[in-house]
Parts: sequence; C-alpha cells; structure tokens
Amino acid sequence: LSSSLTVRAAILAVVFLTGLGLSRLSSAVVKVDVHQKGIVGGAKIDGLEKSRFAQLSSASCAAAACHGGSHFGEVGSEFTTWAPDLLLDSPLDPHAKAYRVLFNARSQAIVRALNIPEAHKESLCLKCHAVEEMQSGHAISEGVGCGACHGPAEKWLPEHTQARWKSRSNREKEELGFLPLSNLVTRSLTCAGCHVGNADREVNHDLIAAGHPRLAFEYTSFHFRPDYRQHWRERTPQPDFEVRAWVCGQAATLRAATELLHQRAERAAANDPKAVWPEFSGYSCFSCHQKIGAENLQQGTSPTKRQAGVPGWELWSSTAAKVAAELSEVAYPGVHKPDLHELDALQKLMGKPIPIPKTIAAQAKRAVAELDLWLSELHAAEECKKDYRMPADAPRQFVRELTRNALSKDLLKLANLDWDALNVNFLGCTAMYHAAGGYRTHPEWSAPLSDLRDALKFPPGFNGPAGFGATERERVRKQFEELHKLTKRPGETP
Amino acid sequence: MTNGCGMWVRMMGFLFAAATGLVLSVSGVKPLSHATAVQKDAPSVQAKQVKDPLLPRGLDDVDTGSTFCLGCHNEKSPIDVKDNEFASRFKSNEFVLLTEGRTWKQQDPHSTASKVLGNPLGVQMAGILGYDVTKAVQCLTCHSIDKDPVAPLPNKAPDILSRFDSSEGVTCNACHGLRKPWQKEHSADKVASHGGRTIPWRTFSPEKKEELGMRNLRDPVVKAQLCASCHVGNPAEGKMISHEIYAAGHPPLPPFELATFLECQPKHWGYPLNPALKFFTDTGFQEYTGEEFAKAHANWRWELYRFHSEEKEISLVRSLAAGAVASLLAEMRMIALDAANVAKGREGGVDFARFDCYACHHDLKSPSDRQARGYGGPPGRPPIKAWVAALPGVVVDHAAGLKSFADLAKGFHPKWEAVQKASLARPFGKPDELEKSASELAAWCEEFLKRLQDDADPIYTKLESARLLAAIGEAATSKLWTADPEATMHLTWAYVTLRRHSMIDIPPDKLEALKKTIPIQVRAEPFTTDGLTPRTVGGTLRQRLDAFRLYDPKHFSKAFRDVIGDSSLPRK
Repeated sequence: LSSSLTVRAAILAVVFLTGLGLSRLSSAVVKVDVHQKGIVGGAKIDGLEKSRFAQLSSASCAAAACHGGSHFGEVGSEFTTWAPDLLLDSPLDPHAKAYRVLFNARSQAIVRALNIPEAHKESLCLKCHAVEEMQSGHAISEGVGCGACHGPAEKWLPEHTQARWKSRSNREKEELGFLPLSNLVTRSLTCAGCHVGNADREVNHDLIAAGHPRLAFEYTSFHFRPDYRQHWRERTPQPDFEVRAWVCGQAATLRAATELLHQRAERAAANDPKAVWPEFSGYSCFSCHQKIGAENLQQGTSPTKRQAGVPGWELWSSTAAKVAAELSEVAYPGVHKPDLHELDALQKLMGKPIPIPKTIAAQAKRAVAELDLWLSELHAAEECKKDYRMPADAPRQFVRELTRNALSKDLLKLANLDWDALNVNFLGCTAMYHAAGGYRTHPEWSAPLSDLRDALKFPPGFNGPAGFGATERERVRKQFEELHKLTKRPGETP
Repeated sequence: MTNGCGMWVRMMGFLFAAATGLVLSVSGVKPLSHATAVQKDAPSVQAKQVKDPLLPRGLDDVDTGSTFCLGCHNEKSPIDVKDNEFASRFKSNEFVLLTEGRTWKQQDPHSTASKVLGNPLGVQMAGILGYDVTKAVQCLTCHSIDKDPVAPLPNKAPDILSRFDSSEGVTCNACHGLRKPWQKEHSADKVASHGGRTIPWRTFSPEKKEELGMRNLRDPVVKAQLCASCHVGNPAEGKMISHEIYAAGHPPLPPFELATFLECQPKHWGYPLNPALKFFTDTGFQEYTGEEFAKAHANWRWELYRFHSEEKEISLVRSLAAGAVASLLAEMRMIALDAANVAKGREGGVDFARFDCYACHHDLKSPSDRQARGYGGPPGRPPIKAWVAALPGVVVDHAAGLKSFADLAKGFHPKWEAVQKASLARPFGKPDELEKSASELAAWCEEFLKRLQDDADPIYTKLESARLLAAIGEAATSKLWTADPEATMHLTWAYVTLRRHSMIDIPPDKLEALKKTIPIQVRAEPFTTDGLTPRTVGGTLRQRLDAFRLYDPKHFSKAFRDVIGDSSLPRK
C-alpha cells in the first residue's frame, strides 16, 4: 500500500511540475493557430496542439552521419528505413507512400465521386497524406515525412544535434516543437490526429462512400502491422510496452473520436453550410451495413438496452476503452481509475436517431475534458514509466476483463452483438497475448484467439462481415467464454 | 413550449372530434402513455374530413365484426341457389360470388392480421419495443380495425380499436365501410325493385352507396388509396411504420403495386371478367333492371360500377396506375408530415423508415457496385425510397401522350427531383426543403388521382395498355432503376401482372429464369395449407429477402430482356 502511495505522489509531482512548465511557456510565447489547447488539469499533453513552427523537408534528416545510414532498421538509419525508394524489394512504409497513393486508380475514383479536381492538390487529402505546409516545395511528395510525426523541425533541428539535447526534458524539447513520441500518450495522440481525425482533418462518410477506406484505428495492431517499417527500437520491455501502448491507444483514440464529434456538432449547431449531420462515420459501419435477411428479423437481442434501429455511436473506440479505463491502475501503478460518466451521458444522447447538434456539442466537450483528465494522468505516468513496472500477470487481468466486457453477466450472451464491439475486444485480447509472450507463455490462449480471428474475418471480396449472423456470434461468444475461463485465477470470483 | 403547443393541438382535435361526434366517449381521448414515442402534432384532419360519409357517427353506427356479413357471404363455391332462398329470388350469385367470407377466412392473410401480433415474432418485437404489440394503437391501426380512423395517433385510445373483433384481423367492414346503415340497406330484400327482378341497392349510384357508408372499392382510386393507407402508410390515420418497429423485427413492407397485390390476393370478388356474374353483361343488366332503366343508363358500367367493358379499357390497368400514384402520394404525405414536425422543432429527424432501406442495408464490397455506378448527390447519403417513383414515372410518361393528362404530366419529374434533392441535401434530408417538396409532389399526386378518378372515358384501351406495358419493361431494364432491387421488383411485378392479364404469354422457362433473379409476385398459391387457415406470409418473405441478398443487376437485366423478348409490343 505504501509503495502505491509513493507512486501516486510521484505522478502528482510530475503533473504539478509540467503544469509549472506550461504556465511559464504560456506567459512567454504568444500562440497562434492553436486549434486545441491540449491543456488539462494543469498538465500539458503533447500531440494535441498544432505547432507554430515551420516544417522542414525530411532531406534535412537524411545525412548519412545522422539518420541516413545504410543499416536498415538500425539506430542512425531511421530515414533509410522509412524512406520509400531505397529498398525496392520490401513493401513501402504506408507513411512513405501516403502521397503517392493519391495518384492511384482508387484515389481517382474517390475524387471523381466527390467532384474534386485532383487529390494531390486537394487540402482535404493532403492534410493527412503529406505534410501540407510544404505544398509550395517538392517536399510534399515525401508523404508523411519526419516532421509530420516528430514535429516541425525549424527550431529543434539545430538543437537536437547538440550533445545537450539528451539531457533536456521532454517538456523542454516540446517547447521547441519536438514531439517526444517515446511518451505513448503523445505518440498515440499524434497518430490519432490523422488515423481518427481532429479539428481540421477528418474522413467523413462522404469520403468513405466515395471509396476511402474506413478509419478503424487500434494502436497496438497498427504498431505491429507487417507493412509498417519500424525505424526505431522500443526501449520498454514486454509486457509493459504493449499493455501500456494498448491502454494509451484506447484512451487517445476515444479522446480523438469524441473531440471529432464535438467539432462536427459545433459546426452543425452553427449551421455551417458544409457541416454534415448526422455524420455516419462516427457510428459502427455494420450497424447499418448489414443485409436484411429473414433470419435477421429474429436474431435475438443483447442485454445492452438501447433504442431499436439506432446505430451504435463509436462502439469501435469506446467499447474496449472502458476496460483500459478500468485497468489503468494495473498498467500504471498509482494512476487513478478515470471517471467516465460524462462519456456515458454522451453515449446515451447519441443513442437517439438524429441527435441535436447543440446538445451533443456541449456534452461532447464535457466528455473530452473528462477524457483529458485521464490522459494527463497517463501522460505523466508515461514520463516516469521506467521506474514503475506493472505486475507480470497484467495481460491476464486485461484478457479476463476484456472477455467479461464482451459477455453478459451470466456469460450466456454477448454484451453487444455489434461487430465493431466484438472486434475491439478481440484485438485487445490479442495485444495482451503478444504482450505476455505469445504462444510460449500462453499456448492455451492461442486456439480461442485464432478461432475468434477467423470468425470475425471478412469473407473474401467483402469489406465487411457479410453473413455474420447467429452462428458466427455464438462461435464468438463461446471463444470469449473460453478465454474468460482460462484467465480465471484460482480463488477469483467467477 | 412544444408541450404546450402539442396540448393545444390535442385540445383542438378534441373539440373538433367532440363537435362532430367522432369521439365515442371521453375516455376515448385519453392521451396514451407511449404517445411520446409516436406522432405528437398530427394535424387536425377532422376538419377536412368532417363530411366524409364513411366516417362513423358514433359507437352505435359501427359494426366491425364479420358475423353479419357471413350470414350471406359465407357460401361454399359454387352455391346451389336451391338451398338459398335469397339467392334464388334475386340471383345474388350472378351479382356477387357469395363465397367472400370463406375465401377471406380460409385463404386471405387479412383475416389473421391481428392474430399474428401474438406470434413469436410479435413477442420478440414487444420485448424490444417495450410495449405490448397486441394492444398498442400504432400496431392495431393496421392490424385490426380502427373505429375512429381520423383521430390523431396520440388520441387513439385502445378501445376505439376493436378488441373483441380484433381476433378477426382486417375484416370485411375495415375496407368496405364501418358504418351499419349500408350493411343493413344493401341486403334489404323486402324492397325489391325493377319489377322484383333485383334489389334497389344494386342500382344505386356509387355516391348514394357512399352516403350510407359503403366505400366504393370498385373505384380504382378509392381502392388504391385505401390499400395504400396500410400497405404504405397514412399519417392522418396514425398509420406510419417506423424504423424502430422495423429494427425490432417487423418484416420489411414490400413495395406496394396494386395490380399485383390484387392478383395475389385470394379473390373474393369476381367482376368484371368472371362469366358467372351475368349481371355485369349488357343482356344481364337489362334483364335485371329492365329495358327502361338500362336505356336511361347507357354508360351503366362506369356510372354505377366504375369500369368499362374489357374491349374498351383493361380495368386492371387503371388500378395499376392509381396504385402507383397513390403509393407515391402516401409516401410523400408521410415524409411531409415527419419533416414538418422536425422543422417545427421536434427532436430527431425524418424517420429512417422513409428512406431507401437498401441504401444502407447492403454488404460492403470491394470493388463496389455503388461506387462504380456513382451517386445522385454527395456519396453515401441515403435517398428516399426509389420504388415509389419508378412506376409513377412510367405511368406519367405514358400519360403525357394522352390528351387529358398531357399538361399535368409535365409537372411530375421536376417535383420528384426536388424531393430527391432535399433528401440528399444532408443525411436524412433537410426537413424544411423535404416538407415543401414532398407536399408539392403530394398535391400533384392528388390532382393526378382526381383526373384518373373523374375521367369517365376509357383511358387504358388495349393499345394504350400495351404501350404502358412496353414502357414498364423498358424502365425495368433501364440503368435508372436496375441498381435498385426494390424499384426493379416493383416494375417487374407491374410488368408480369399486366402481361399475364393481357394474355400475352411469357414462355415458362424465361419466367423461371427471371424468378431466379427477382421475386415476380408478392405472394403465390397455395394461399392455404390446410384448407382452413390462410398460409402465413413467412415463407414468401424469406424468399423475397433471400432474393434481395442475391440480387445482381446484370443477371436481372438479362433475364428480364429475355422475358420481353420479341413480344412485339406496339411502341410509340
């Protein structure tokens, strides 16, 4: 007990100190073009604020002696590992080809449907597919270059080559526009800026219907995607890295999605002629995109009561995030379990067929503030993560909780029949399996997880769980139940 | 504010209703506890329909059950007139079939409309919706008989929806007229007229029959609007299916095509093609009514019974046209009312059920047919149901070539486009624009139906019917509609029904091939499995929904073109 108190005190101290740093900053610098304050509970969360500094081309990073070495995947070869052209036989990092894809047939079809002349000149596309600020130069063609994630290098580039850089705190680095991505909160919020959206970037349903893939951001599964060329080495050992990455990813994704709803609702409430309301992309795709078959008429119901015929809002980003919230204190000893009652209230309001923008804008704002409190604690805990390891059986606890989350109290039904809800619970379990060491540590988890993956897989040729019906749901339920039983600790209440 | 306003409207409705004796007792207007879930500000329609002779004047004026009717109309077919004194005296069997009740009870699903509310699907729906569907007014308005049809939904108390009779579902009187006066009068045998050859009722004008409370279902426009009031909806009568009800499990309402529905309903009516009904031949009519009467009513078919001889007009085609436009009218009225309520500040938006189900309810594919086809507006916005305009479009384009409709026909397409535009202006439509455009199209439909109703001359001659048939065939295979299975199914139903009725054979193998790509009718025989009760719609429903799952525009178009084949239909 006393050690946990010490940890809490340490985290509070970090929160307090970063708050001090912030107040110093805000008095010294006049900020321009700040979209979101990114300031909560006296702490500052990096990754939320649009920088005021200029972007530089990735070429400035690519000197052979700096990050342009010739050892793929090694320290000193970050640019080389990321860069598009140097390793033609290996798949391109999706970030490196982000600009190029704007010329492919799919992009052509999308802009045709949307009545946009050219994707590679369209701000809507460039905001995420490149570093838009570099549109006047050639560097736009780099796609999502170094500066897009690490922060605009105008000020920090000269500084970070100096020996003293390493002794600077993340806070100091951030003041120069550098984004300390080793902090998983900063990192996942940065990713979410494109992969979920923010105040000036979004993939809405118009764009998806025109052919753009749906955004379904899940940090840990993206992190380990086979076509993602990692140009860095994680220093945090497993299971801590992946469990924490999952928790931060869940919190950041939900925060970004809620803020996106807030922005959309604000625009709709202000009668912005360009505002789209209701915006379908915030709902579970397959709530609506399922065929009406005779068997669907009698498919039974989940114990989660909601109005029939209203799609589920953000089941993707909220379903498992509640487990992340519940177990925050397991991942980061000393962090409080966040109170998410404003989010619950928002979800209730979003359960009406066409919610009222003004009401939603106000409630979403409250929910974002609530999530920011959580994120600021996680952010502070990330700053001192090396000092506090999590219990070795943390992954088991998460799987236990995720499977409980997927099932009704008596385990006989699924808590939510929606594919998105089922899938994020599954992805969470997979992250925990890998965090714990995979097959070597938990061979017994492997079969149920594989079966879950197969049951949830889209059939060939489809972009959705076509034909996902009662049989598949029962298969999924059984495997969640199996995992739930496998992760029971002796003596634990069922 | 909204509440106060709602109360005011309700009060007004009450005053109107009370003044006209529509409301049967004070308890009849108790607001229902679940009224908030449904239409709050239904416009006060009583004012407009105060003089409607079909509306009951009070409790004593209504008979909802079938008992009285079955006294005569429950014969086995064919009837032996020797056993039936009434029939032998007035040759009733040459005027009507007399087997109507039996057909209805044993074969027609209308008679089970209330019973089905208690089946497992009904129980499931009640669980999801949180109310008892066997007692809820919004269910019973269609599934039973509403003794006060024009009362706004919040004012409909369960006891105006006949509970005892509801075991009979949609009975004779639900359609033919609720009021007792006509029920008594039409069987008044003691006052046989025309030299004792027939009873006076048979020679009454439709207006006179209506005066007594009988709905003139022989009028295609009256019939079309009545059927559409349940099979599509009628907001003034509180008949509006919502997406919530669908999501709870209500089977999707099939596109309503009157001619096909008539052909697929176990027929308890027989004229005008039935040779057994000799009354409706020139010689028969003269024999029953006398030379003098027949002479004075040279146009008796139209004047009294609203049809022409088959040589002059194929009567089913007028029903087809009326059904198409009445369905569109019903849908537009529902959209306009819902949109008006939203524009006035009601929470939510226009109900999802007013939009094309399949715009959202499809599996996502890559590559996608929809993306390849392109979008009418911004990509990914659900349009309103396309089928409601597909057949009217063809009917109107055809009517543009007819003198009496040419001017009116011009108005259709711009008005329909305005509705579409408003529905796509934002997801689920811009309420104010939708209200305006849907009301304008509804007014246009009313005008069209009025002309269709009033035009005493034959419109759909054999030639014109053949032209319309060809135009329907063309529309069904045109790019405009093939991407939409509901629209193509609606057009297919109209085409197949009309072509069969026109006695232009469809080669059985070609029809079979078409059937594999789309359901060709709403329901098929056998209508009963045990000879005593109607076969449920479940089997047909499964077939229809399965066909929708597998619908492929290319396969459909090919099969449909094969059906059209070289039927050498005259074209303009």
